[in-house]
Amino acid sequence: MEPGSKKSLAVPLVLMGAVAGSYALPALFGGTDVQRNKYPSKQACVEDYSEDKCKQDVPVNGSPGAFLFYGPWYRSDYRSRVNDPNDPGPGKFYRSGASGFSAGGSATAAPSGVESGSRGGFGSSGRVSARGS
Amino acid sequence: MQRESRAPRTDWQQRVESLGFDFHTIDGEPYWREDVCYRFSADETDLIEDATSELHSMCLEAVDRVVRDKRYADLGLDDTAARLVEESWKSGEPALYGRMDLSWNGSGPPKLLEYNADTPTALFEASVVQWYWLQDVMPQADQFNSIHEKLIERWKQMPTSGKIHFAASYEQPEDRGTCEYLRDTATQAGFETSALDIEEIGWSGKYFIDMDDVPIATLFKLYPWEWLLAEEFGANIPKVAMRWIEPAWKMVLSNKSILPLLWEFFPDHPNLLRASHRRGDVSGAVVRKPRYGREGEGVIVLAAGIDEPPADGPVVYQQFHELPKFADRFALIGSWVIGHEPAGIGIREDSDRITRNTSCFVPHYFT
Repeated sequence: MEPGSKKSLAVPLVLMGAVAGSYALPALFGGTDVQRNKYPSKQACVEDYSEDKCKQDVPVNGSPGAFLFYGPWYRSDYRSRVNDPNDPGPGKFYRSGASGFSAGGSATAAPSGVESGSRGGFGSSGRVSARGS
Repeated sequence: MQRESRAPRTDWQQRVESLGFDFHTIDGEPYWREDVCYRFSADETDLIEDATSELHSMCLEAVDRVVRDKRYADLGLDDTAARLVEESWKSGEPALYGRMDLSWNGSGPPKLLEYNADTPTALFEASVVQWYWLQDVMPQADQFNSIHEKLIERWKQMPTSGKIHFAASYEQPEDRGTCEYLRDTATQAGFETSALDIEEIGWSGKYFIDMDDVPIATLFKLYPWEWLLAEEFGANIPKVAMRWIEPAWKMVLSNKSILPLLWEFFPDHPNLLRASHRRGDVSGAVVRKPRYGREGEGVIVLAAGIDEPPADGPVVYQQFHELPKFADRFALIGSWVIGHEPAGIGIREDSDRITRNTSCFVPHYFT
């Protein structure tokens, strides 16, 4: 503001004008259960998926847990994930049925477990009412 | 305070759209109107600014008293909400913005109708669109509007490092515009930002995550606190140490039940209207407001002695104070607070005495 004035001196925008009208509608999850595999090493995860799909656990606060690497999230429900070509799936060590994961002849270990999560747990109220005020 | 007719800019639609303002017309009806505007004097804007500052200070004191005396039941806040309010208030979590709705006709003290302290919208049009309008039509005039500058400065004061995530219901144009504008100002303040729909937020079992599975450390959410807490993921909120903007203590102020508490704490204050949870405490005509109503939803005016329809939930009764009427339009002043400073105004008007999300936004200037 200039002295004695009550208005902004300048109002530059860096995002607004460029992105107007170009939004893609969000993926609506509606309470989808998802999960991801956890691995004792990056090598194990990369063998199951690929390097770009493996991430080291980065907690917001505190130290990482015992399992340091995670594969991508995939839908827990088999039927919904096979219908989505973008779902990365449970990895090649997954065996359907009760056997779960198996490393087979691989030198590296199979996933040591899965971490469950979900998406779509926020937003249900907003579908029926105004959010802003 | 006067309402003036003006010729709209010949290419006004193109000009506002070039700013990213794509909800100037809603359902075929004008939302942005520049065939009229409001003119104030400098003294009048000073008066609105002072009243806003005083009211905001009173609101902060009210939050402190609510926390100190544990008046959560008066606000309908359960134990989880109360704990979040208390923790966020005692740790001094910073607020970004809020909008007070004031009734004022140019004389006497402005009256607080409510404080939209958690999820206020109509921000972009107040901060940006009316500023560019003024630059085009009378650049020599002033405007009570330093919202943009103050937002960027406020972001710089945020004790936050790393990426800030912005979440809203992105399929709603007004929410999307407000959220993206705030993301714009955070970007200009030097933050890395990322946008996602509120439904896209994931829960990993340990923290909230974005679409790239990255834990969210700071979340600006254009989504009411009471909805967050009531939904499936709400139970996870107390488990995670992350920064929320607005902070949880804003639940005290965005709740209409703050109005009776303000009247209790500051009785007969000239900027307040008498309010109570009991209609009998407020004589004459009253306005009945749902505790969590938005955009005028569920608000009704009750003449003295008139029976009222049953309410769906808790309500507040506030002394009726007619909005000023110019031509055939009722005008409401939305007075913005950025951080803890008054920052500007936006005016909405409607043919009805209750302002709703269909009310029109009209620019202003002062000389």
